[in-house]
Amino acid sequence: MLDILAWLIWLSTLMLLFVRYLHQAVWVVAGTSILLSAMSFVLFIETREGGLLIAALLTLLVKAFFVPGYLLRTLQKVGRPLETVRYLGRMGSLLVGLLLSVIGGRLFSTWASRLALGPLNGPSTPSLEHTTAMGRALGGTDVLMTVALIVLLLGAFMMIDHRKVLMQALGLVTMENGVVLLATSLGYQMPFFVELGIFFDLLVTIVVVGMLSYQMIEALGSMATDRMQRLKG
Amino acid sequence: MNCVLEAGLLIAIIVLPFVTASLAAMRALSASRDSVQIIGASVLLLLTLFAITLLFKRSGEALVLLPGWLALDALGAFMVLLIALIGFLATLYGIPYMAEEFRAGRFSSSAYRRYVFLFHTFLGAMITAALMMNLGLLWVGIELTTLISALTVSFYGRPTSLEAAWKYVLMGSVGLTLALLGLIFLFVATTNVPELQGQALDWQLLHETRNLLAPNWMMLAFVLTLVGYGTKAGLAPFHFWLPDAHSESPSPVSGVLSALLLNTALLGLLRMLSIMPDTLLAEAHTLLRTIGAFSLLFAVPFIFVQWDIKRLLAYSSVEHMGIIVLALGAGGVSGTFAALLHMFNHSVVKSLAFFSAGRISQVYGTKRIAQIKGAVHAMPFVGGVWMLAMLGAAGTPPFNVFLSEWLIMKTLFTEGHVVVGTLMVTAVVLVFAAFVTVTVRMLYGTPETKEGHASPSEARGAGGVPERATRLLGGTSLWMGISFVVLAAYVLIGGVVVPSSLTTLIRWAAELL
Repeated sequence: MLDILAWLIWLSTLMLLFVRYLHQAVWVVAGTSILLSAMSFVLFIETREGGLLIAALLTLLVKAFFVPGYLLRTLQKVGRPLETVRYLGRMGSLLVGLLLSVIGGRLFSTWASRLALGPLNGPSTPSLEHTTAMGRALGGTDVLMTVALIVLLLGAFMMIDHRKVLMQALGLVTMENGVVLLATSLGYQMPFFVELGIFFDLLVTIVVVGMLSYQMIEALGSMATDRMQRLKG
Repeated sequence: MNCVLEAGLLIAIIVLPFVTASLAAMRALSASRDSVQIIGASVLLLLTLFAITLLFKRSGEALVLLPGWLALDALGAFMVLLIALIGFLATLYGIPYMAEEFRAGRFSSSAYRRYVFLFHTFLGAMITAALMMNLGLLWVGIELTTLISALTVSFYGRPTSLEAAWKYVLMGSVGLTLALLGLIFLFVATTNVPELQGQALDWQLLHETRNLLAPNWMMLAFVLTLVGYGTKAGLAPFHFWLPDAHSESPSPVSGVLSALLLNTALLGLLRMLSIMPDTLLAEAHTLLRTIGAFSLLFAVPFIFVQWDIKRLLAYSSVEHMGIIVLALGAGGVSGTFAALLHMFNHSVVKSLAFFSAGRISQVYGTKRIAQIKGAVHAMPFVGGVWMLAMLGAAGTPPFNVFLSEWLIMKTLFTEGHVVVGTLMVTAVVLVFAAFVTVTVRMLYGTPETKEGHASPSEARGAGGVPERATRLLGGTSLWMGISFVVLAAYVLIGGVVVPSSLTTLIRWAAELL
């Protein structure tokens, strides 16, 4: 179940590299967030840890409703559907995305064998699967961790590839998703206040991004970053 | 009783900047906006001094609000002191500066209110971050400072300032995402330490049990947080946002960005460094020295080719951040002590430099170095302050920055890091040459532009400042003059005598780590 969800998250992240319009991208991000929330919920069912339920609800509320809602409203203020612009084009981006997925998978297997599964130096390395209830529920699945790493890479790639600021911001959200997935796959539950703080941060980030991109449309007539090449050296 | 006083004091220190921000931004209070700001900032400074007095009475033991979450230890007190002090002086400077920008029609009155709100919220966010004793919440605090300050960077709404703000938000957030990943690895490193279960990111506990943490995960966590917070602190090669953000924001904010925001990021790095297991310290120090040296190497050539006065100062910040990290990389209490002292000195001299440069370019109507000539004739007082700030920032003896730079070089050489030590000496000498050239070019020669003469009536400050005082300061308003005089006084004497209470506080902070 978790593995299926993880692969779905991977697929929806790949879709971000392929969508044509900005508002479609926002919908895709909303979908990814629902998947993430579902993942936390499934883990909650298996472990009965209250923190996971809260995480699921917060993800749903913040990432699946508020963030996409706010971004869609910003897009509506512009009035016309905005197309995405990529340096590599749609097919090129998808191809690089697939390539990155393969690299991410390879990277994970070497990384995991060096760090998590075989102690690098000293006997004090925790063996991940059995330290927490969540780790046990995950049963040492590698899929989640692999997907997390790939999502992180894809997010970073999105920020380089895309020329519209909103898509770069979605790249940031994607990277954040990757970090959250990785935390989940390590069986890690943040302390409640910290988790709350991180969600609050994400909220403020998106509000700031929305304000800035709207200012840009007003001042530059576009959200494209190629009009922003004046500051150098 | 004492307990209640402590808690109340800390709450007041946290809440006050936000109250000041909201009150000063209210439309109903716009007539007394300046007094609200001055009162708010000065009360904050007094409360901070009071809290530090309490800290001294208990010989450095932390004031606690929420155990494990919010407290004021010696390091936090040092940071809050710096924020409250520079924040107060930036408020004094900002009032006449922004009033004149407003009169020149650079922004609307609602934008003015937004600026005041953002400025004090920014100070509040930095203070909150400095009091966080939980590494997760410290991260949240540092991220919040990024977001709030991004809105002050984009304040003028020019295409270039939007570009700067965007680059800043994006680079800062990606950096901090990596730092968050680092914190997650830190958590993994704690899973086999029984004392840490359930309070995994509590700094105090982590510091006590640091030698039990899993070393391979800790190293990974350290590298990621170094990259993350290093981006925020403007260390090369992650510094590309810094010159843009510093040069595009209003001058009071530029000063605060350079003097305070960068230090707040370094605080995150310091707290992380202090929980590294002893076995990994050597490696961590090598990393710090490498990235510090890299920042020096990167900044110096850019300092030579700058044509924009605020960008020049921004690259000098990259250089000084590199020096601070070098000092941390020298290791030991003496290295940390020198680093913290340099943090303080850099903040004082750099805010003075940004403030006076801001004033000069406001009068001349340009930031281009080539177009500013004869400043010493046109505005003797500000010109003199500017010269002092530039000489100070270049590390000229006997000013304050020289003292801490000398201390850092001494530590580097005695600890046997001859190569980086030599590198630092060379870089400092080169920067000195560049700074002197620029300063002389700007101060002397005949003023070309008509605006070259600051007319006192134009430059009058807020609240009916007496004409005589205005004339005395050569077209600078009283409030601005006070902030210049206070900062300049410390630059002058700080190389010869450092207040003993400051050195005690810094020593406690250094011993804490």
